[in-house]
Amino acid sequence: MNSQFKNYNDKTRLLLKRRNFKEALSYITHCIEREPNPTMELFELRVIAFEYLKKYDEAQTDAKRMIHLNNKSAKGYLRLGKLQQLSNQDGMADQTYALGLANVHKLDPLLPVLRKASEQLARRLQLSRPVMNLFARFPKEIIIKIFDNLDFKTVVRCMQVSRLWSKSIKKEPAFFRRLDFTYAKHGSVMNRDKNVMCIARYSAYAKNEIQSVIGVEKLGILTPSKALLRCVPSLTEWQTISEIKVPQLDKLHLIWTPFSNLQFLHCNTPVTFSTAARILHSCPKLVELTFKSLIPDLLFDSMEWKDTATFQSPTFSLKQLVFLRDQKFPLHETETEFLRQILQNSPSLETLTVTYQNNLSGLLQQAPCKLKKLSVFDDSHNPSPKKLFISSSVECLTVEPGLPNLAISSPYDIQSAEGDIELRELLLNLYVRLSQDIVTKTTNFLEKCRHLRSLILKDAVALNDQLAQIISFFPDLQVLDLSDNISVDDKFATVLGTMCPQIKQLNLSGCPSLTGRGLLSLVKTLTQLEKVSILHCDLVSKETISFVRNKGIKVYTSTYTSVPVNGTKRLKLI
Amino acid sequence: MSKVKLLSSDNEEFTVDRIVAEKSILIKNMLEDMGEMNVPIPLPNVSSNVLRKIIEWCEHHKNDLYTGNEDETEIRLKKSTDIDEWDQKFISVDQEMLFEIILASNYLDIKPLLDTGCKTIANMIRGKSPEDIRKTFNIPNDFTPEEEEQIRKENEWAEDR
Repeated sequence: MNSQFKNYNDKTRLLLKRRNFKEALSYITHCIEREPNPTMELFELRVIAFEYLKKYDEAQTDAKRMIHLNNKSAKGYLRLGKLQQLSNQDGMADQTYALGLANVHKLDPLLPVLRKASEQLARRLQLSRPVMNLFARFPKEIIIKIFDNLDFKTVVRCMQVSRLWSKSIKKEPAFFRRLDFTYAKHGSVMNRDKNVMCIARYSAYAKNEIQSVIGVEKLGILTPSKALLRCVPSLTEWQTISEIKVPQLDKLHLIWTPFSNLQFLHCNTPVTFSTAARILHSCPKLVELTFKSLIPDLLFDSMEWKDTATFQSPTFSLKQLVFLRDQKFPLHETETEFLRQILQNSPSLETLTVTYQNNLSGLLQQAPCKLKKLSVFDDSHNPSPKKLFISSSVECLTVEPGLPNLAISSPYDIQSAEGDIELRELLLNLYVRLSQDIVTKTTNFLEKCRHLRSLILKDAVALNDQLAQIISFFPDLQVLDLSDNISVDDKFATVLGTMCPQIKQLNLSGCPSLTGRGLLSLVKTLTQLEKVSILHCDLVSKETISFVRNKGIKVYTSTYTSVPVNGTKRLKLI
Repeated sequence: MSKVKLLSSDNEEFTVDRIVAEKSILIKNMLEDMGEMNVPIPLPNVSSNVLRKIIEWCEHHKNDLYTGNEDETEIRLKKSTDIDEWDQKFISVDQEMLFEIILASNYLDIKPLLDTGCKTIANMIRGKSPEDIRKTFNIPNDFTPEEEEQIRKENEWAEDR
């Protein structure tokens, strides 16, 4: 073959040299037809012949064959790209070169040639394309509309595009009203001083009318800087997002007097109780308030927060309160008194998230507000049953351990006013062995919640014997989560299908007794079903899953780990 | 159903159903003010190839209910990648046309179409480096290297990772 090829090559090249293109073409075509496995080199010769004859379409077909025969060689891409340019197909040539650069072997001697061809074309393409400058083409209101869709970090990066972009962005205060540092570069904490200057500049661009500051602790700034204080009257939202470790306690005196118009304050960084008291005192317009981690301090006990005007005749406009204390520190009486004062004086409170403490039930009973949503995080070590009082206004109740993967130390005894409970959503993370007494009490409580739309029972192993009975209480259920429960089997699935026909979303992940038969019976009876999660249900076959999927139901299985599904973090067998 | 005639800037006449034309609040207000009109409505800011595209959109969306005042926070929560499938296909045009559609929908006051256009541009910017943004819109870099470096340094927190 080699010697034969040399013959083909020499003869064709000779013909080409003599400008006998037609003869060269017919000779090389003859060779290709005779050869059982024509090589890339043969096709290249024919490409050259076609090219001289200006038969670009045929030449392109052969160039594509070259790439097909050896996609690691630059030759085919170079030929095809050149031909496409000759046929005024610059865009396609650009793609051909890009494909070549991605595929060609890095030791190919022609790779630099390919790179150069690609760059030249790109430069020419760019010169021929019109400049699409947003800021030159669009009026201000459209620019603002476009940037409304972008996060603050992107807006800042856009200042580096060109002079016009930079100038136009700086001139628009609206872009700098909401400073969101959530996606700050890792390690920005180290450049605190520089970042303070940076915020000062943004504050000037915003004409001192910054409204929200989010995640500023990522820039190493824990206390409001002087630059920020200039915008104090306009600030309505302040949010820290990281759950950083406490550096020094005095750094936690986060906010003081001046933020008089603040409506949304979310401290996910730790805050001392005395700071919390000062915040409540100085920000009367707060609507949403989050303390993700409250820490006792010495100042608090001696502080005369009760005597200040705010707590003398107080009314807070709070609608949403998160009041979580760090359980590492022993509970102090003044803290309970503090919470009681807040609850007493927040008549419009609707959502409360709180750490469990012994007298919580009493505090809730006395509070004047009509709570709609109550979430209790429990990380106490108290072994005796905990009483919890639910008023008739509560629509959504959540009881969870304070730290993920930690057990609740003792069961809950949930009480309510007489009669049916209006609860719509309930999440109980039990994770404990319940005594027979508490099982009965919990069952009785559940029986009163006839209007439930959503029920999430995590680690409800203690209720296994009652499960079928419990399910029968809720004919209107739309969302059900019984993940990590070994007693959910095919028989139970049949019962569930007939008892709760309205179910739309179902999570049975980590229920290892469930098989395909159970799932199929569920799909048959639950006509409203939209989503079902069956992670780690290994007895359900792939065929069954694809059958269910074909019915238009979303099925989350173990292979789809990217989908966040509650439960299945652990599988507990008792 | 009554028809409306529209006249593009290059004097091409389009006849469309009134319900289609009324997707444009500008035209809707005009029709309400003037009553029945037999003369074509002149649209001096919109060329025929753009108007044709806009009418295509209005035809497809003629039965949509426009929910006027959406909650501010709701708008913020909505991911800007949420463009409905048909619209996404519709808006896959070259940049010149995209810019023209945005300008025309702003002039004609067709808010949902303007939103779609703005979101599309935002998606072209999101997550890109300044250099990539320049490439996308073919914008020449007119900073001196020193200026560029200074702006970069001033906003260092906004860099990647």
